[in-house]
Amino acid sequence: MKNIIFYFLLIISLLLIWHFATFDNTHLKLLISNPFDSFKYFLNECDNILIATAYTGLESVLGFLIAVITSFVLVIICLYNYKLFELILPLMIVSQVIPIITLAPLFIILLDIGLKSKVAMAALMCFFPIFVNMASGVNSVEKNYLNLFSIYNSSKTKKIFHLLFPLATPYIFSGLKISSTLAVIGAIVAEFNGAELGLGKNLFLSAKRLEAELMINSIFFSCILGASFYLMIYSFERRIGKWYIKDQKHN
Amino acid sequence: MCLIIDNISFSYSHDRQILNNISFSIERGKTLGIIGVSGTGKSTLLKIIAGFLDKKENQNLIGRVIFDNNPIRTLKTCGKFSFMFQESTLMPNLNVWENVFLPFKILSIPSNENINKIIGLVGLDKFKKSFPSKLSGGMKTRVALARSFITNPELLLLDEPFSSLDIGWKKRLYDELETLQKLNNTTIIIVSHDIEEVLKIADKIILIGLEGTIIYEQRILNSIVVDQEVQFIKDILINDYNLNIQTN
Repeated sequence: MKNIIFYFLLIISLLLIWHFATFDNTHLKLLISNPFDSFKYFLNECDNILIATAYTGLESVLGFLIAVITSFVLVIICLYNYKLFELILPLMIVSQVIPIITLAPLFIILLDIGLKSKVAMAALMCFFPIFVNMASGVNSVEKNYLNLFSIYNSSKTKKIFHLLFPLATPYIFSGLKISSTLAVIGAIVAEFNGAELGLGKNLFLSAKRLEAELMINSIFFSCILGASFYLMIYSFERRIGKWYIKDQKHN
Repeated sequence: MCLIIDNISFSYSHDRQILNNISFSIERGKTLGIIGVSGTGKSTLLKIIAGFLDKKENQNLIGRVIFDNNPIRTLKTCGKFSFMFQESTLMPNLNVWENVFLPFKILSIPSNENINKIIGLVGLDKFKKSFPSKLSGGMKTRVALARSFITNPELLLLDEPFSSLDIGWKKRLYDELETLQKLNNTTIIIVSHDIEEVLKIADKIILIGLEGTIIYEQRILNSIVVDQEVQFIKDILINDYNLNIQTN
């Protein structure tokens, strides 16, 4: 309860600072608007802003799901043929040297300006943390557990689905939580480079037209989108991961 | 002979020899106790018998393990082999009931009333839905024992099974072990550093020395012999290994 009060007071304080900073300062107000004008803008342009948010949200979710499924399938393939891990992991790490956001224009050229290029960008942003965390998780399972399953001559499939993935759950959810916000970032960054619709497009246009109210609203709803996505993953983890979450709290 | 260990030698590459020409046998339905101080390779020997250390890189393993003229793998396939780890090795994401049920899950056998019965036997009825993180060391050991008994194995290997149990539970579980053995003609190998504990339940003991060889082997015939054996083995350990062991 104390934490909630603290955060509430913090938000109020920041809003007040913002309001009084721009109250008599026309120049600053032009750049960053003020709380009341931004809220009025939202009420007038509610439909457009919410549709843009939904569209960016859809791109993020689809990109995230593609990254999860691809990581999952790749990890399973590597578990059936372990040498693939040794080949793929170094490639993954080296690939991170490339600034992924610079690939956004390439995706637009290859996949056009619509949904596909944004989904691809979001998927690419998410893939590395999900895959690496999943791979770390399955590789960190103690040998005794593998021996436990070998006592009953367990098949590799049973080891993978009843042992490795369940015990890797904390790592998997770490990767998912990190990637949940990266998916939103990836979609927005892809929209900067050209989009029919979306929060990224709104941010780009607001900068070009100096529409501070549009910018503030787009930033606000980007945060809401990222936070909602993260909270969904977090809530899901709390249901699946009861066996380790309580331990983490005590530690 | 039922279980034959034939000339087992083991070392990790670029390391000292851990086990040297270990050979012994035990009849069906009997208990073998393996004793020795820490670092003599007792647990390693048990893992070799279980097949956990079969032919890997950075390891040198020679010798063979035969049970009823077949490799151990044959027993594993029909769920007639069981092993209890020193560290209990309970699945942290499964509750007590699910951990005991695990062998059946892996072997694709449906659950039966035996699971509840055996959980009752180890005194954990009220903890069926508890996760291992909520259990004490002794409770975890009892769950691990229940899991190792549940499939009525023909060969059961126990690595320090009673180390975290109090005297009351040790006595109860010795009796359960005996019942299991009579019922299924189970051959049991138990590794322990507790000489008295092993001599109470073993039909035969072997003592492994620091060089990884068997330095003493003896059948245990009756309880009178047990007291003599305890003293004799302690003398070996004190004199040959300069160990400070309290004598009664």
